[in-house]
Formats: sequence, structure tokens, C-alpha cells
Amino acid sequence: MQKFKIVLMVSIAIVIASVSSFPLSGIAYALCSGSGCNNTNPQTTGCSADAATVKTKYPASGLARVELRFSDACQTRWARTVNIGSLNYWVNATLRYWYYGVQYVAPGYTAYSNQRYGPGYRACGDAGISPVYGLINDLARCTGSY
Amino acid sequence: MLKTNTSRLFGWTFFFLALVALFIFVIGNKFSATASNEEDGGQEQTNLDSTVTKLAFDGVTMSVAGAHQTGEYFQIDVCFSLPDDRDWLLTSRPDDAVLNVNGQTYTITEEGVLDLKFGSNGVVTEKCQYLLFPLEVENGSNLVLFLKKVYVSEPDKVDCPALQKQLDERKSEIKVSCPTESNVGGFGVIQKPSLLDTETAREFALDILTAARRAPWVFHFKFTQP
Repeated sequence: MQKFKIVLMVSIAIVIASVSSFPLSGIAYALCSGSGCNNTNPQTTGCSADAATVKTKYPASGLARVELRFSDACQTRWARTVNIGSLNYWVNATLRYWYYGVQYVAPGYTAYSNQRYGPGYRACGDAGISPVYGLINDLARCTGSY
Repeated sequence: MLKTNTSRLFGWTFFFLALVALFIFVIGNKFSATASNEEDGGQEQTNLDSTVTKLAFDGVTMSVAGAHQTGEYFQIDVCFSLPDDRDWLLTSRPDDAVLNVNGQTYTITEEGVLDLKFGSNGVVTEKCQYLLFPLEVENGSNLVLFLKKVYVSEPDKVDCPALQKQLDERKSEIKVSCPTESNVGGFGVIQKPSLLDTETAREFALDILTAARRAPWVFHFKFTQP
């Protein structure tokens, strides 16, 4: 009986150790899945935990870095625009044809759009002295599709 | 005598085959390239005299894998080894990747993932990125590609206390702040040493946040259309 208890305890310890060593990134904490992630905030849903920048565009203004962000765990994409100028600017981050975010931000700050599930999206955006309240869709300010 | 002649014949045959192999290798690559590093003495150069451009620095080996015209853009493919499995990138500003064509310079307009290579343990070990430059390159043009750094992409929400702690540990006297609004990220510099301009202070903090590894990788090559 004593031997059985020891074997049982060792087995439990091994199971706990194995489970706790799994890489619990992204999906383990994501609060959405599939199309249920559409038009949600990638940060508050946890999808941004494993995010990668798959495409980056530098519009001709020279004031913005536009990124297409991708979460492998959630299979979602969103746009992020960074103010790379040296002054405060209005920045627009658009997930082409779908969502946009507009913010007046200091240098080094970013604005990002809500996310959408599935492939084939582009990130668009720019920075400037006037706000663009709407979607930016012209390809000169968009990343490639992913 | 016979043995000496046989050895000579073997030697010449080997030399000839090596020459043919080298010729095929040169022709096989659509461009010829040499690599140089202009500043960092700690950088290791490999294959300096061959057509393979490969430079190693601080655990990152980088190479130019190809170049071609794609519509109104000139595309250069760059592969580099990854220090770890984080999301490593090549540019955070347009002038982080600069192409010099016959003496005229062009900054990058787009960067993106081409390919990921995995090790036997399933971890990403190498990444290939495409770099687009807004120009049409003529056949036979001499090109110089400057790459300033590799870095890990910024998180959508910066952990400000952690970044501040790292800045304090380096006695930088830089203070940063992070936004709290929804759908806004990044960080700003709110305090810095008087001798530092804000741009430099921000770059310093950003390098820490993104684990940037700076070394100018400079690739020289002639573009030859297929």
C-alpha cells in the first residue's frame, strides 16, 4: 500500500510538471476564438500575447510605420501605426476595408485597430497634422496582404 | 616517374573540377556580391571573397538571399539567424534599411516575412524577410545595401515598470511613460539627461525594450537580371 502511494505521488508530480511546462501562450489566455474575435481589441482579448509583425509599410509622409500584426493563437490580424515623427501627430491605423483607429499621439506612441479573424488582410495608415476619421484604403499607404 | 605523373594528373583534375564548380556557383547566383562591414571590429566576416554574402555579429548571421524587380519596387531578400524564438525584425524606421544604387540612396518602403526555418526541436532558427525599395534597378547596376539592426517587435502594450527598471539599472536618467487609453500603445520619454536629445533618449529606451542588436551590415553586389 505504501509503495502504491509513492508511485501515485510520483505519477501526479510528473503529470503536474509536464502540464506546467507546456507553452501557454496566446490561446490559453485568449478571451475569443474564430470569428468571435471580429471587431474586438487584440490586447484586451489576449490575442496580442503571441502577436508578430508580418508586414511593415513606410508611407511617403515619413511620419508613420504601419504594421500588419498577426496572432497565431487567435488567427487574427490587426493594424498598428507608430508615430515615428518627432512631434505629436494624428495617427490612423486601418485594417483595410474593416476597422480603423485614430489617435493624437506623441512620438513613439502607437494606435492600433480592432482585430479580424482569417487571412488576406492589409494594414493601412499614416500620421499627419490632421485626423483621418475613416478607413485608409489606398495601397500606397498599405502593407502587402497576409 | 609514373607515380609522379599520376599525382600531377590527379591534382590538375581536382583543380579543374574545383574551378568548374566555382564557375557554376557564380553563374548560378543571379548577382555577385561581396560583403563588408565598415565600423564594427567585432563583426565576423565569412566568405568575403566568394559570391555568398554572409556576415555574423553578436550571434546573428545575415545573408542576402536574392534580389529582383517586382513592378515598381526592387525587392531584396535577406535571411538571418534568430537569437531566440521571438519576433525579430530588420527595420523600425525607413532609414534602417538603405539601398544605394549607383551613388543614389533609397530608404525602404516595405518589409515582410518571406519564410521561417525551424530547427529539429520545432523552434524557429532562421527568418527570411523581403525588403522593398521604390525604384527600378537597371541591369548591371552596382548596389550597396545598409542594414542597421535587428530587433524584437514592440508589444502592443508596453510594460512600463519593467522598461523603467531596465533604464534605471543602466543609470540612464531616462523616465518613460505609457498610455492607458484603449487601442493605444508604445511609450514616450518624459525625462532625460540634458545632454541627450529626446530622439536619442527614445532610441536608447527603444533599443532596450526591443533587445536591439546594432551593427551595420553592408552588402555590396551587382544586380544581374535573369
